[in-house]
Amino acid sequence: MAIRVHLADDHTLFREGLESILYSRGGSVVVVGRSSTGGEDALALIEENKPDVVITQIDADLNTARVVLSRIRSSSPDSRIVVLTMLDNIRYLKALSKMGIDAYIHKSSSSEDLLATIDAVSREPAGENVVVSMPRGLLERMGEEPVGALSERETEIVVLAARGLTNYQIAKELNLSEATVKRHLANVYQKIGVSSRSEAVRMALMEQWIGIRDITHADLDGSSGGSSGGSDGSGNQIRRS
Amino acid sequence: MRVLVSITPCMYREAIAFSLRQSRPDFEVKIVAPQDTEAEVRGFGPHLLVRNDTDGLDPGVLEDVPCWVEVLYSNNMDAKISVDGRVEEAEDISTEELLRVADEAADLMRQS
Repeated sequence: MAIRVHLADDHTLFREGLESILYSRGGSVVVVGRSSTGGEDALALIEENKPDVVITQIDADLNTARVVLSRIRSSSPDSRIVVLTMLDNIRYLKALSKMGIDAYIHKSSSSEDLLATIDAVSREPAGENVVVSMPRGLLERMGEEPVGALSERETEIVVLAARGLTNYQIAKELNLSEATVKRHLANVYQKIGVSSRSEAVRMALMEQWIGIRDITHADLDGSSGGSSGGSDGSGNQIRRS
Repeated sequence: MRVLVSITPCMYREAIAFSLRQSRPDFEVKIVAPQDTEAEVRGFGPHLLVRNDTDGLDPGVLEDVPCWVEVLYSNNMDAKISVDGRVEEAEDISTEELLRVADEAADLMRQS
């Protein structure tokens, strides 16, 4: 019985090329829907067709990825979700796994890997495992920094926010305008996929981008000046780029 | 008619080459990693090159290729198309559009 696939990619040329490759399997894979990524047209088709597998391009920040994936999941709860991405970050991979994807394929993998993955996830309807496909060299170099790593300034601001300073106080501390602080925080939220300062602080602590010592220890001169980087949780400074 | 596809990433490169081979089986279509594009332009001598604008290719290399399609990764994946020196831009290029360019390149090759 053919595996029924929905193919979602924003780029027509690539989507059509991938569709040609899927069709080349002699009927073992059938593309029942094709669309851009995550739009209403995609969701309507997925809901209508209830494909066995949804192959979707995701190159977005975690917030956007979360929205796209949860909407796909709502539209067709039993479909296996295969993500095609250019992002090679271990935190991103882990976050997408927690969002319930069934496969993570880096686009530098070959189309043969995609075909093998479709077979693999189709054989595993319970979705217990996640298939990860990427070139070995890329996996070995895979970054562990937070997705869209926080800049030094952003890390400083998160530390000061964790100390309980208001935007106004942070701005004064760092000789910035309050609007600049707000803009930095908005960037932080987007990068790490949260929607409030308390969530940002919680995630920064949980992921050990900042440490308790960053929050509880002001500089030796008595000021509460921000850290110039994150911490490994034991107070060791980590340089960020 | 020789087509060289050097676009990144690999999966897209293979997908585009597959479409071309399937629709134009008489074309010789070769894929190459971006870092090897320059050498393949010299060795393979493509009539059409499909690449992306962030591949670091020396623009001078394009002078040896009669037709090329440059997918603009730096600009929302639109494409710049050059056929015999005439350059146009396309939004969200499709396989049909790529085949039209490939056919024009083949016509040029036959005329020369």
